Amino acid sequence: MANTAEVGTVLPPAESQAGLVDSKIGEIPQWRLMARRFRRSKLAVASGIILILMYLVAAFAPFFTPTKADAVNQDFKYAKPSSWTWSGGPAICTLSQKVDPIKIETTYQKDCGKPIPLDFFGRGYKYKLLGLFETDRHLFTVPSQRLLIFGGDVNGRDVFSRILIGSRVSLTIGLVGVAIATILGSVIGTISGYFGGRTDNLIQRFIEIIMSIPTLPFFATMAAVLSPDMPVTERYFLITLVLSLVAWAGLARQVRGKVMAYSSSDYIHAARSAGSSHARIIGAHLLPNATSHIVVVATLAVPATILAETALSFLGLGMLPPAISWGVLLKDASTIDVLQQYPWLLIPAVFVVLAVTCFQLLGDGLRDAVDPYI
Amino acid sequence: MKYKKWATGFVKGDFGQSFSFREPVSDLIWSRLALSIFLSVTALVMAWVVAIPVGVYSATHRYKLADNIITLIQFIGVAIPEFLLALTGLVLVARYTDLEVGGLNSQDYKNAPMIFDKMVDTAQHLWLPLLVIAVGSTAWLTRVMRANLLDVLGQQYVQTARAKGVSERKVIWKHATRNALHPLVMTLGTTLSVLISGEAIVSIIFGLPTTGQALLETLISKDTYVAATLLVFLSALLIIGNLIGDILLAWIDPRAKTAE
Repeated sequence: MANTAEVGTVLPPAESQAGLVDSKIGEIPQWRLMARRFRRSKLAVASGIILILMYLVAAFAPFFTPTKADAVNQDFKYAKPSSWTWSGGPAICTLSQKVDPIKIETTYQKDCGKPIPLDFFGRGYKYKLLGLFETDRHLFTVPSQRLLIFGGDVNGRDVFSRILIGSRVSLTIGLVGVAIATILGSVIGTISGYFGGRTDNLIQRFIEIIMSIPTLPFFATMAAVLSPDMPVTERYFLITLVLSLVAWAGLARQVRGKVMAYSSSDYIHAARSAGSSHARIIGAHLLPNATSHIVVVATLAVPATILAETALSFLGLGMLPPAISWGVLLKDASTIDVLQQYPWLLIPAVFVVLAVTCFQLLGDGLRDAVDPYI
Repeated sequence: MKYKKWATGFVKGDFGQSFSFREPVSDLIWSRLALSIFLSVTALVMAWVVAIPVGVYSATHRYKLADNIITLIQFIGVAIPEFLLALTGLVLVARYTDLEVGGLNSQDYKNAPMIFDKMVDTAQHLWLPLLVIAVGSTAWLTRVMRANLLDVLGQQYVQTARAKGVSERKVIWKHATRNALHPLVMTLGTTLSVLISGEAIVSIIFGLPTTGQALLETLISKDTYVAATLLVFLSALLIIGNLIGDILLAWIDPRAKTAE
């Protein structure tokens, strides 16, 4: 840790001396310099850790969910989040439903005299862990009743379980969408910046057309073309494609700028006069230089894509039930009456905000880390 | 074939017929467009009015407590989706005040002529949506402003100005801030795009009759002609915004005119 105090300098003296003893020139690879600069930004590191945790939970989501996400139970329609008590371990109070037959209102009576203790690593519904091993163990379950950490929705489904399962769609759609957009943007941006001239002109005008359409309406228009009754997986991939088709334009712009700046530099001229082919110049000289920049721009594009998916699903144009994503969950909370009576339906939003903020802070930290001139 | 017919008609001002509203699209659009432009432009002005001073303050008090708080608020402001903010706003206002929110006017004023009372009523309905639309952009612009000013403050001419004894206030406002404004003007197009997207989703929640709201609704109900026309108009709005941005830039920075 002594070295990290002076990571701002290009070569910390301790390292370079150690290098001299080895009779070689002290040398730290570029990526390690970046890693050091990145570690300086505590906020970015913390965000990265939170994101890794979120993705891990998403990957093992069924293990963490006490109830099946789509298990309907009218006995817990709009039930409040379970109240916690203690009974040789954390436990929840029993909840009994009363239906007023005249006003058709459901009320809930909680009874903390008969607590139901949590069963850690207990048996619950069957699922396949990572799609490989079939098991029915869960982190925590309750033997009877239903554990509703974040309450129940209109059909008595467990909002907590639905958030965890929904995170799989919401968190990956951003990553996959941006990955496709990055590949598209890098290829097109490199071509545009490297060859210049008429090709460049054509591509740039095309990008300008795409960028002249306001984002959300554009997403919505493309998503609206999709048929509402296609299978969930198919829709997932098409929505991802829609998101990436809009996002690549901005990325291509950035990559083009970088490539243009590099391709007029001396070492590219040198490579060209030495007879390198276009493919070699691009692959060996331009892309490695632009990689760090591309990574940063891509990271910063993820939150926008997550938000776009959430907004689209919220409007009923993105993912549709029975698929579960954060946007789909928030659609249940779209009217003011529901919100006032059942405010816990808004909890998925907390996770959206958390994920988006973390990605932004991470991207910010990465940007500062890869730019050696800060 | 249908597209060709629609496209030729479009140039002549005939935008086709709406399936769901059962009236010509052109009748639908103009009043909505006016409201959209009003909302976007007002939100833009609000965002700028707040973002510039706050950004300057944040940059001049770098890493102080106030700056850190402002930075944190900015990040959250950017991260909260507009529809969430709109929903929360609706709930809070409905719970703690007796103002009627949602819609453009109260029931009593729906068909009343545009008199003073109605304008007050409209204003009461619009302040919350406006606030919600402006928040995200304000947060983002503050961030841009702060970064720009920090860049500029490190320049030599700022040092020169300080060295020759110009008061700090004048250094910041006259020498530095003026030059830090350029990127803000350049991003006018992007900001406007964000505002238009925000306006669309916020109007749906508040039930405001704007272009964005109509677009999303017609998309859901597959009302092709209206949706296509609205999309063209929104894009036109954005292009005009970009043009204004370029003109403004040439005005505040004469160098932009001579470049290339």
